[in-house]
Amino acid sequence: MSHEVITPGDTLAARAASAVADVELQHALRNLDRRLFTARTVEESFPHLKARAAALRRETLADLPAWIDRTERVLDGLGVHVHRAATPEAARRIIVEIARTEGLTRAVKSKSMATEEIDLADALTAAGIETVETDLGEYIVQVAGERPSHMIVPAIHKTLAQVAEVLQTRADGPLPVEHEAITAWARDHLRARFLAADLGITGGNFVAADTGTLVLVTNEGNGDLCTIIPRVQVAVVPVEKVISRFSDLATLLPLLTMSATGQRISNYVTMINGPRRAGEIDGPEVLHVVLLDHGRLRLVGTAYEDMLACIRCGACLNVCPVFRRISGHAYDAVYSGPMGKVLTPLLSLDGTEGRDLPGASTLCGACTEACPVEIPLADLLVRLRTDLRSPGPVDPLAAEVGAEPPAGHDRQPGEGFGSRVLDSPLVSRRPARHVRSTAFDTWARLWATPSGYARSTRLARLGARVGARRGTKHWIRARVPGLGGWTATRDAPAPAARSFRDRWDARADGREHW
Amino acid sequence: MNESVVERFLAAATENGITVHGPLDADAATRVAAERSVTLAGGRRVAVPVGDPNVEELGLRDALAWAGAELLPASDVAWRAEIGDAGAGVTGARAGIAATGTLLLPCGPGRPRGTHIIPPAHVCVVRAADLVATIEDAIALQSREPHPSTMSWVSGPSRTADLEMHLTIGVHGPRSVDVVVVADATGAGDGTAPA
Amino acid sequence: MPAVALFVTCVVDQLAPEVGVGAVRLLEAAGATVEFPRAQTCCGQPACNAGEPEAATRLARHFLDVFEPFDAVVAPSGSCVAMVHHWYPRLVPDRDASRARALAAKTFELTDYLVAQLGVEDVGARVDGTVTVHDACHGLRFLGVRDAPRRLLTAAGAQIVEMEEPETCCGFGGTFSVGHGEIAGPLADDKLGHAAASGADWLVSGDAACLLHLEGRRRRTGIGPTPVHVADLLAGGLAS
Repeated sequence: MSHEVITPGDTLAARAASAVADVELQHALRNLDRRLFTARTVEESFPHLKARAAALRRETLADLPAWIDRTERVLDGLGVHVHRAATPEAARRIIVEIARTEGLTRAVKSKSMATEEIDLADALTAAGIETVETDLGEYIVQVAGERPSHMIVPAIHKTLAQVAEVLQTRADGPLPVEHEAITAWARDHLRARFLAADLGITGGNFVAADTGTLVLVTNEGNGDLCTIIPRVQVAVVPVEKVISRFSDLATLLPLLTMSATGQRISNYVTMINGPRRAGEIDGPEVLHVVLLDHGRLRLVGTAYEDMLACIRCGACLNVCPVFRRISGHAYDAVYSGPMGKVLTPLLSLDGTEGRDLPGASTLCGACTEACPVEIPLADLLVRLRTDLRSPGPVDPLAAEVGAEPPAGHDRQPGEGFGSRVLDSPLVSRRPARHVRSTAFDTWARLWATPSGYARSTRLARLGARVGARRGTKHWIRARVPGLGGWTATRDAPAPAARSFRDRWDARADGREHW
Repeated sequence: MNESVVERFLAAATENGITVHGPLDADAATRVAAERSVTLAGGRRVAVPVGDPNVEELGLRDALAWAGAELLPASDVAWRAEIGDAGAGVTGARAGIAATGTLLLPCGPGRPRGTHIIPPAHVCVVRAADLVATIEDAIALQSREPHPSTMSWVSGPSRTADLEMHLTIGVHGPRSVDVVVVADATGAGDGTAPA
Repeated sequence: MPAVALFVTCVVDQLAPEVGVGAVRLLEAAGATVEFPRAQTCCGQPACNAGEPEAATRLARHFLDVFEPFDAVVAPSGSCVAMVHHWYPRLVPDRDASRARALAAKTFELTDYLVAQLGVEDVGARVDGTVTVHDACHGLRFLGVRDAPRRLLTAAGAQIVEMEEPETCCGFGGTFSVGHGEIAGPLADDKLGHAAASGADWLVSGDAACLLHLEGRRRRTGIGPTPVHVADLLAGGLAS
């Protein structure tokens, strides 16, 4: 991995602490607020789009393998070379092979989370193909040797002064710390790369199964340039980007742009229907589409199917109080924010990645509320906390596969991959067998009886008196075993001298008057 | 054509940072498009399509030449080599979307993909009669017709907010977009007196 | 007279009993008869949110057994009520899910119950001074509690000054506040900072746990107005 770690720490908690202590990062993150309110306002104006989009996405996902097949046939008919990649390794191999076969040496890339997911730029560079990110934010993080920290604003973590410092390494002299000047320099610098490129790498915001239309959405216009100038274009498209009908764009396109940037429509929407045709003088002579699975299809029919509805707008990042404080790098994952906390462990085929991400949420529900396609992100985080609780690498889907579909479910048993979640019971999925489960189990057994509750709270009250500061209410400042995470930043309340029920009894006995 | 659609298109395009002209009758539209292109090109060549219905109908290539432009027509074998040095690109839009101020630019023989994005200035002509109200209408329109190899929607100049969320114009594509709306021959939607 | 069962919540019972006292006084002032089922303990939310549904289910069943007989259940916590509404039907198997749904339909957050069910805004309390309201997340997003506390406070004569982002999480988040104190602390600072900027005398909310988290932080930094539960503040303004 060539990416530099800029938010140090072995655990998410340690990285979060680094991020919070990083003064420049905290300064840069204040800029995120400006986006927040436009996106929210616009969404409030078009509530009907949200319900329609959510329904359209579910309709496609319910039969995703068939829609993928259809997409492949239609693309093939348009003269597009279609590849299916089950894993990031397979995708990298396919694309490097295309470059070798075609004799390509200079690639320009537009912003694409799928290419981040498969670490494509590194793979191409290692294969001797000069690969330049062309989205301004992506270019900045590429030069800095970092990952994007936000899927829409990749360099949101950098102040202007930091950007100038980074890009200076590619300029002849120092760059002024000024937006327009840096942008103008980047334009000239990257324009030369565009004109020299023989390979254009893009993602795909949508691909329509009925027409084979590949849709790219940008504001900079770099997506257009990547598909216009180079002789060969490769689009990396995760399988869930398939939409059933071209006409679905009428709903999904404005919803994406409004949720992402608050715009009614982004300045450039490019709809590509195959490679250059006879009589045309520009556009790719050869167009490849790499359909990336990477564990997505196995989510179909499970509790986590909803996550495939995601259109990568970034709205959940913008409203997330945790993201707004720690930024993307602290997650140490390609996808960050609430959607990243859900998707990262789901895409980890060996069950080792993103295990501590679902825990880093207050479950405030702002993400669920902001999601334009109604993914119940907070609920999925709770479910992942359950499915990932066993120590060691674990497949979060292990409890899903083979589970009985809930009553009234419209899929036949054996069809699909398991039970659909939202209405399925959460319990009896896996026997409790680790420390946390045992602790909660003991606690619940105790508190499921009034006498157990009374005994344990009396004990806690006695214990907490020790070391508590005196006052009208007791507060604990010292580190207490099990409460260290709390008392590191806050005083902890000690149990009241008399509980509510003590006071209720006192009132009933006439010893106390309210 | 419903006049309010034209007005809404002009307002939305203006809001997006597009310089709007019109609606103008065919002669005035041609003159304005040619003069703006020459001015914006600043002595460099003006890239023009060959076979675009709007450009042909208006006789825009001749008007450009008459206004003093050195043309880079899409039929020129050197187009690909020269487009990087062109000062302006002229296009004709298949349609425009009133709700969003969007131009629909189909690409095909004689209508290269790069005209609207590679030169630093973009001038587009669209007929008032071709304006539709919403994105949904535009998608429906495209669904009724054969899909071109590429359809580009343009709703403003190239912009970025990647530097501290500060809006900056002209990062990769044109710094300026001009749209000239050609009034219906019947006069409906024509806000100006006949030339 | 409407009879309600008070679910005081374990947090209030053990850590902030004055909130329970306030809730009883408000309900009685609004004309309700309050019962306190002694067998009640905890709704099970800590276990559910931690990803331990079996433990949560055990407590959900206990809650069902304790509160099912009553016509209405009221709690001074949007979060615990949301637990009943949102998670109980999914925690218990099919035949009990309908029991859970029926219970959810008669379980209410305190301010919502006063305003929407009893139709009472003026409980006869008098609150002088300015208040800013933090919309605790679960009451707001699961139950739609936004106006009720403001109406009660306004009717009591308090002047409401809205802070920035009243709907943004304070950073408590249950087990999160222990597991991720490094984020919970700064989020409390954001909330306390916004509240301080509003100039309000009180930072009012409907969930005791959020308020204890905020007060715990405020005791370290000295920033922000005093966090207080809406029931505690209003009941303090009732004639004794």
